Amino acid sequence: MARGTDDPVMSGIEAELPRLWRYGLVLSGNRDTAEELVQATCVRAIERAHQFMKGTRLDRWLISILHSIWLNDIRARKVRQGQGLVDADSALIFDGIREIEANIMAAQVLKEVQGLPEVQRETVFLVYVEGMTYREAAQALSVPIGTVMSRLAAARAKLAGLGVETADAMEGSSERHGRSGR
Amino acid sequence: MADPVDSIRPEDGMLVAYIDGELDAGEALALERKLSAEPALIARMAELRRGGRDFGNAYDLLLGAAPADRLRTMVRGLAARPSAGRTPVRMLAAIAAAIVIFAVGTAAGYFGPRLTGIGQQAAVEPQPPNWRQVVAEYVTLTTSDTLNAVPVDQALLDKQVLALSKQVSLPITSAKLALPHAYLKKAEAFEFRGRPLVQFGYLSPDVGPLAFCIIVNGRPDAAPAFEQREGSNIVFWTKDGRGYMLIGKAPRGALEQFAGDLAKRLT
Repeated sequence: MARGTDDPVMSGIEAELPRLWRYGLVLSGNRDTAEELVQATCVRAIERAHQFMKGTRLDRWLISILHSIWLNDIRARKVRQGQGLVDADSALIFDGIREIEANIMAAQVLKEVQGLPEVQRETVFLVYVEGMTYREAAQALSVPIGTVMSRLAAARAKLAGLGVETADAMEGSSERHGRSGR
Repeated sequence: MADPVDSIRPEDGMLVAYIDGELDAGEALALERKLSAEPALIARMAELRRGGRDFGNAYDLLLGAAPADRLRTMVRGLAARPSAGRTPVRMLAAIAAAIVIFAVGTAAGYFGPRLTGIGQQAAVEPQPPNWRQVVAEYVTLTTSDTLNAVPVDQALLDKQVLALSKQVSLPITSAKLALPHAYLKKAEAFEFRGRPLVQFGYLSPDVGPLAFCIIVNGRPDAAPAFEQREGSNIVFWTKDGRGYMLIGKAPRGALEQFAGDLAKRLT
């Protein structure tokens, strides 16, 4: 029996796929791994659809699942198999993405953020890109809110020391993006 | 994993929370009072502001690079799959529902108490879970750390293996269970819906935990086959009324090789 469209997970999951893939890319730095992460997330979300609470945000729930799979399964496997993790300093994962190659400023921002340690990178992403509140980010990452604050502070301190010209140019436009869930 | 936060100062978290509008009115007011009294704090806040970027627009450019069609096809394929038989439900409840655990005690032959409470509650699940699914869910709870923490007393382990061999009426010994680059760490007796189920837990430095399970299920012989459940690879087969499975994160080829070796030694 296929699942019906009255299932909020099934009816909403398709719209979230590109954003899930993007989060997978931010975490893994690898497009294939990002796709693998999205697939594993969808499998688990569909299997556990009964656990999704109606009235809460599906995107947040899916992001938490993806993060958990990354941390406990795929990332752990890569480390175990000695594949290591992507050299985050490399911005090669963005090669060939025309829109980015055409936008020097955006490419610089992506390179800088991907150069941050993983825990800072993912926190910056969830708060400043996905628009999560500190509390939402803390829940998604299973860390205390104070950890979210210190990660963001450390990320900002590091970014402040980089590309000062870029930062000056962007001064005043660092507000969080797409924060619709508050 | 420790956070690399050496470069930050104690007040940085509050300053960033202020910049991000995360402080409540009282906290913001208190910080503003502090800022007015400490020019160094204002300078630090300005520095942290400089660490801001137009993150949203930069990352939005990545959305267009997502393999949208492939992902959509994938998820529609998942949606069309029959839901029966892939209902892990709540992992622990399902495990408790299906398996009545007997812990192999320090002396072989001693079995601990049955965990019946949760099992009774979950017994109303409409679909009895496949035994391999239940094992797969159980195995997901096992990490390298779990097995690293198990001290190995070889003499005791040999006795436990012998006790389990009687459970499934097979001449199993620790030697017959040996796998390359993997250490036998545990031998445990379970029941799955009233049928004896034994599990041998290995730790491989290369691929993490592996588990070899045998259930007495009276099913007809079936050749080895491969599947994936709960993110693990599984090779399974049936021989002489017993179901076998070898599960772990090892690559398929290696797992099939191990399973072939075990099958030859045990049958």
